[in-house]
Amino acid sequence: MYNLIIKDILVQKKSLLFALGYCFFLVFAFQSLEGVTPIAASTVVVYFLIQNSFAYEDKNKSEIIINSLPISRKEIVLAKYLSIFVYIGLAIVAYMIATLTVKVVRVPVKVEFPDLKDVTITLLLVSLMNSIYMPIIFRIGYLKAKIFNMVMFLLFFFIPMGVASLYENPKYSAGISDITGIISSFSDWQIAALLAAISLMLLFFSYSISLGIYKNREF
Amino acid sequence: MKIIILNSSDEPIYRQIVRQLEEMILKGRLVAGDALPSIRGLARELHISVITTKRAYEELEREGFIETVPGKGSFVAAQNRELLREKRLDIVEERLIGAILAAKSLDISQDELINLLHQLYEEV
Amino acid sequence: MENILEVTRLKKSFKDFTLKDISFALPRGYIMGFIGPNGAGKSTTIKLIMNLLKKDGGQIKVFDKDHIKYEKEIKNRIGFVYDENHFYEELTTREMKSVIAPFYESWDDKTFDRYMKHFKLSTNKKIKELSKGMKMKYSLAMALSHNPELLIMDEPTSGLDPIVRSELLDILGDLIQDENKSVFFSTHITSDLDKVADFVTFIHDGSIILSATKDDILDNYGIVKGGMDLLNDQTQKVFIGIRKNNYGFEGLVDDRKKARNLFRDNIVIDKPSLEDIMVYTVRGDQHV
Repeated sequence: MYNLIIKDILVQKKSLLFALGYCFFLVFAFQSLEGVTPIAASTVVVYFLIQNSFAYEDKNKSEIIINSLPISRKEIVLAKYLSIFVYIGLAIVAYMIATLTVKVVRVPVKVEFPDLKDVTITLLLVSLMNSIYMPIIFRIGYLKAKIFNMVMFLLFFFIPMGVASLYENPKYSAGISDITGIISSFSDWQIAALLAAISLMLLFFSYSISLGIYKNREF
Repeated sequence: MKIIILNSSDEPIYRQIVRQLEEMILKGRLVAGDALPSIRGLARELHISVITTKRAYEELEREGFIETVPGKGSFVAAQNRELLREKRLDIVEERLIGAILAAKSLDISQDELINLLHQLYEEV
Repeated sequence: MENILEVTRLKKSFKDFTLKDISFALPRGYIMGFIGPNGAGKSTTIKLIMNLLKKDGGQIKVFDKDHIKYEKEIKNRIGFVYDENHFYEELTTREMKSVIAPFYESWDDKTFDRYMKHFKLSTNKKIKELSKGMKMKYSLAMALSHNPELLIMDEPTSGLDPIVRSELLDILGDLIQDENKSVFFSTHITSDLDKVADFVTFIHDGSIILSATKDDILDNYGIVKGGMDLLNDQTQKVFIGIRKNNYGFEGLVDDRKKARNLFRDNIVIDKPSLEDIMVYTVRGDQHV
């Protein structure tokens, strides 16, 4: 199973470089968006790498090869879910390299390192996204799921912005500040643990659905 | 050793192998103890099915021309000098029976027939 | 004889095609050719064996074990070659090898290198740069480097020139020198089998028409040729397929002796090729 994760990374060697370049781009492009750059960068990179790994399998119908190898379908599905964590790690490293480089060469750009909050929110966003689209890809294949995934990806960008604008609307701001008040009464670690737990539950639930689907998939 | 397979022949391929190996043994080109090619090796060389060569060897074995030692391969059978004589005698016997039947039907006596045989044996 | 592959009453239905209770068995140590026209069910059967498709009924045993229950163990001992390239095209032959190799318990790089050398394949060429014939040879090198006991191939020779095809058949001959190994391969080019196959299984329209040793088939089947005056409703029944022209008829029978007894010396009987058997069987009904 680990071979499957390694396979996805090997196949995407070039894409990893692209991801790094993308982080540099975001560091510059998103400098006005305070606080969200690390989250946005990591989420986009993970989305990109996962989609790309599915795309490679879809091309030339390589799934036929994968499913002819001595691996169970369970391992194939599980490997994809586990690779989410690997990609989050890779995305954060890529983002760190980008920010570090910017700092070291003293480019006059405001940069932030990802903190605990960034990592957990990234985890939550990525988990939510993958929990929804992975079962769909396992069901109908990457190509057919592509449009759906794009729409969903864009929604993930606009919904937070919508929430942010709600925050500024006086009609809702009282209620929202109540919620933020409750949230802020917990320590950062408690919140992080809660978000991580929610993420894992989502992923596990989604994994069970994907497995049921993929076990009966025909090629 | 030479084995030639004719795909266009009416004779089944396994028979062609049996016949050619038999001839080689009868003519003494292959002698007792000589190793034969392996069943699988021969099939590969001749580009034919393993089942075909296997069937040919089984037939040769049944006729006593060859022996197969498991794990070692197939060899020209040791007892085949006797067997060869027998085989050759079989052919002569068969013809003689034909001659005898002919003689009987023409009321030629045994002595007459033997005399005739002596005479012809000298002449031919 | 131990069967290395055993298919019993295998069923699979699609909207427009049904595999109808097919059965056949391949003993260990032999090559079986799986023939039939396009769309007869060859690929479907192979995909069912590999569990790429889910069967609706029946049983498939490989190495005497259920192919789903022992899927992983079985696949470790199977080599596969498909008609199209399903490898990652952007990778080099060596990179793709590194991707696949770790999945097999008994992968041997030396064997792989030997085949690559034998096939004159470069290890740093991208897969998409290989010709059709080279891709097939590469697939074969990949399929054989874990020393599989059973090699399963789906139309490996389609679209290849006669030279490459004959090379492939030589390799199968080499492989089968080990009596523990077997090869199962589908093809619609029957001349590939005339030489090398031990067993022939013929599928048509989702049903097995015949499955026997090639020698038995070729010994018993015959092409009967004679004048039209010999044909009537009764005598026509012995033919599987028949072709009539202004000067006489040619028909396929599955029992030469029977035909000889029926027609005596009024006919000549020719040896059929597997292609004759396939063509007469498939087109048979249209011509009787």
